[in-house]
Formats: sequence, structure tokens, C-alpha cells
Amino acid sequence: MDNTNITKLSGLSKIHFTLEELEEMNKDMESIMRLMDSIKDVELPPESGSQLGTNIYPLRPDIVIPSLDPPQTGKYYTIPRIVE
Amino acid sequence: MDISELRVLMDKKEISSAEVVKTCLERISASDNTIGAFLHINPKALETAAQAQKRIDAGHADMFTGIPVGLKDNLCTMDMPTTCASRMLEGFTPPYDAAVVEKLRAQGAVLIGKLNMDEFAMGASTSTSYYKKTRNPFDITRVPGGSSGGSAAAVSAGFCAVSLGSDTGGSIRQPASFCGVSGLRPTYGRVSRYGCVAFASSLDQIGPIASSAKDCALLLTAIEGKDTRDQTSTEGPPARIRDVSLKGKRLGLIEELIVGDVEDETLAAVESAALWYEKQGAFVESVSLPMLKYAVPAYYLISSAEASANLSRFDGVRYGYRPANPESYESLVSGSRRDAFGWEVKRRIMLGSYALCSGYYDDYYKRAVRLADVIRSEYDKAFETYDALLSPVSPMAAFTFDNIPTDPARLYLADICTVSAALAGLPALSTPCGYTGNGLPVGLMITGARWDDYGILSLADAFERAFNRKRPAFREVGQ
Repeated sequence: MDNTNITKLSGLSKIHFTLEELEEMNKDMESIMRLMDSIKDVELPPESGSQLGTNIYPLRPDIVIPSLDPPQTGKYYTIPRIVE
Repeated sequence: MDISELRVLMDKKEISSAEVVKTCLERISASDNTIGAFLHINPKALETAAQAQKRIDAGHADMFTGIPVGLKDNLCTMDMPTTCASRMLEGFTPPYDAAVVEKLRAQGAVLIGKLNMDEFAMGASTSTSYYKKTRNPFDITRVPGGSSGGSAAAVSAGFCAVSLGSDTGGSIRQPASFCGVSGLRPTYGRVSRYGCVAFASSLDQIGPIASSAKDCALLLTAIEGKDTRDQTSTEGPPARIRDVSLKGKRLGLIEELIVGDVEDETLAAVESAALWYEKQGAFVESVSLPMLKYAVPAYYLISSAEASANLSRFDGVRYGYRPANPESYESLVSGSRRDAFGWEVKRRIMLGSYALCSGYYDDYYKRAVRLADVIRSEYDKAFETYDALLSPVSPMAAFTFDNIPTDPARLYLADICTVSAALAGLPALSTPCGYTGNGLPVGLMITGARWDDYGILSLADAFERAFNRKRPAFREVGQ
């Protein structure tokens, strides 16, 4: 992860970091992302579109993910889904 | 003494609720300076015990009437602070009770206090708490596990009869294992999450920690059930803990969780437990669930993505901490989050934000969700053959505070044994199955098919009745 990305992420996350903290976070994120990258090459069965994104609630597939719904905080805060 | 014994003694008037609660409070007062399990003691505990006694005297006692119960500090209580062990919620008292708290109050339970945890339930050592360090009653130089470390340590040290914790990726089972007590993560949906401060909503589940599987079952019965305020909760099939015949039971030992970094003593204890089941007539064999090796990254991506959204509500406006004299709205939000979130919480929010970013979403979050689905299918297939699956709870026994890994990836990998059941929404429990050479407890994890919570509790109960459980040395010396 480069410095631009980590700075963008801190903005998206609405957390202020000092430069030193950003460097430390960058180091941590690099280590974490090495672990996360291990899923990138896993061969997965073909998607079943209707289930994708909703089936993390195994009991009620009709329910959307409430935690990812926009928070009711008004215009100042948005869910950090999209970078650009 | 287990809950049903206490119940009988209380109902026969051989012991009063006040006496039991007083004993717990005396123990807390004598020893919690060392253990550090509690963040808040209920000043009205004895008053509640007196009210419970009236109910007992009138012959209207429920199972938990007059019984002291501890609560993890992410469960909302309208008469006690709920901080999630974070500076962000310092001094925050919710205006409502969590559904599980309502149920316990309705039973007349004595809520003895709020228990320490990793900040916002993110951690495996209770060392990310903003307020204090909790120590393992078996060895105070070691961690109690986490994130429900206070809940497990309090039961282990005899500060309360039972406690409630929450388990997102192992936060009940791992501390129960480290502290030598029993802990259950119920089937996702069996217990209402209403009033449990959200970390990762698709994974969070509230569950019991107790001295035995039998007591876990009693507490589960008291808190389970559908609640319209949590749409993911649902009525499980009616069941209770029972004496099970082990003859002919089919148990699978999960290959992927008994290789790699599992310490020898842990492996030996788990294998000897498997052997015990075999001697009782169960059929035990290895089973492979190959995708479990990807459970850790899948879990951290999903849970962190959800956490980054759930924790967005902590903006310095509506809850808790707010910096003095912010220059703008932006600095109010980012300044409050800078000052009031700990490093681990910030790290998870950053990871979650990254996984949800356009350009990375498909590679990370979406793949993680699909992987969770594949893992769930592997479990479902295994349960066509097996009644339950066995594994260690953690690759190692409780580690010292000095040995908490500084590399986050290494820290996260230690959750390998517990996260997959959470991803699959399955019930899983920890029961002590042995001790290391230096006396530290080792936990056996029993994972069951969806809704078979009482089935795995019954299997654990059978083992516990034959197993010589040790009390922590601290408790022997201190009381």
C-alpha cells in the first residue's frame, strides 16, 4: 500500500493520523494485506448472483446487510465504499 | 457449585440470594485489584438480591432468580455504564437494556457488574481495553484471552456464577479456553443481538460463559428466542441439554485445525479428549475441510468491513468523547476518532474501508463473502456424516503479556480455530480438556450443525462429568 492510499484511507475512515502514525499504520496494513491477499487466487465456484452479498445472514437471506446501510448521520458522513 | 445446585439450595432456604451475592462481592473486593475483570460493579446488587429473595420466598423463582450474573461491557444496561472498554464511550449509560439483559432482569437475576473486554470486542487478549488489563486467574502474568476476557476471568475466579460474553470470531470460546471454563457461541440467530453494541453484525452473537456446559445450557435457555427488534433472531427448535449415549456418535476431528502451529501440549489434550469419546463408543475420525485455511482472511475482511460501517456512528456528536474546541465539523469527527479509538480499532476500520473501496471490493470483500459461503457448504456437507466436529479452540494455551504478537497478521492467524464456525453461523463451544505442563488450561472446541446447540452442550457435559477440572491456583490461594 502506498502513502497516497493510506492517506486516502484515513480520510475515508474519518480518522486523523500524524505522519508518524500513518507510517506505522502503513507498515501494519502491509503485513495485514499480505495475509488478505492469500484469498485472491483461491478458486471459487461460480457465483450465484441472487445470493451474493446477502447470504452472509444464513438464516434470513431476504435481509440486506444492515451494517452496510448508510448511517443516519446526515450529509457529512458517507460509508467509505468508493474511493474516487 | 453449579446453578441448579444453587437453585435448589436457594429454594430450600438453605442459602439466600444476598449471601451468594455478598460472597461474590467480597471475592471481587479482595481479588479484582489483581485480576481486573470488572469495569463497573453494580452498586444495587444487594438491593436486587433482596428483591429476588422476596420472589424466592413467595415460591415464584425462575432458574436465575437471585443468581449473580456478570455482563460483558458491550451489552447495554440502562442502570450501569456501557463503554465497550473504549474511551469513545467513557461514562456512557444507554437509555435502554439489551434484550438479553431484559430477559435476565425478568428472571430476577442479580446483574453484578460489567466486565472488561477488548475495545469494541476487537482483540484476543483483553489488552486493547482502554481502561485496564485483565489477568488470567490461572497465571496472572498471562492474558485471559479475548475479547470476552473479563467475562471468562470473572467466572474462573469465582466472582460470579455465570457471565455473558459475545463472540464475533471466537471471543467467547478462546477466553473460556484460556481461563479453564466453558463457553458457548450459539447458532447465529438463536439469541437476540438487540442492545449488543455492534462490531460485525453478520457474525456477532451473545452467549454464556460458565463453570460447566450444563450451566451454559441453563443460561442459553434463559436468553434465547426470537426478538422482533433483531430481525436476524429466530426461534430455534425446542431442545434442552440431555444425557446422551455416546455409543455410535460420529465425531470428526478437523484436520486443518490440528496441523501447523498447534502446540504439542494442546494437540495432546485435544487428542486425548477425542480418544475418551472413542472409548465411550463414539466413532472418531479425521475430516478435511480444505477451505478452512482461508477462514482467517475471509473473517477479517468481512468483520472489518462491517466494523468500519458500524463504528461510523461514533463521530463525537451523539456519543461519548468529543475533543475540546474543534475548528470544523470535519476536525470534530476525525479528532474524536483519533483521540478515542485505540490502535487496533483504527487498524480494523482502515482495513474495512480498504476492503470496501471501489477497485478492491471485488478482490477482497466480495471474495471473502463467497469464501464464507463455501466454508459454510463444507461444514454442511460434513454434518451429513458427523454429529459434531472436534478441534482445539486455540493453537496455544494462554500467552504472557510480553508475548502478544506485534505483527498484526501473526496475531490474527492465532484465530484460525475459531473464526470458521462464526463465518458459517454454527454453534461451537469450548470446554476444558487438559492442562499444559505449567498448569494452563487447554480447551476442546465442539462445533455442531445449525441449531444443535444443546446437542454439543450435551456432548461437552458428558465429557465434563468424566474430566477432572482444576480450579485456578489464584482462587485456591485467594479464597
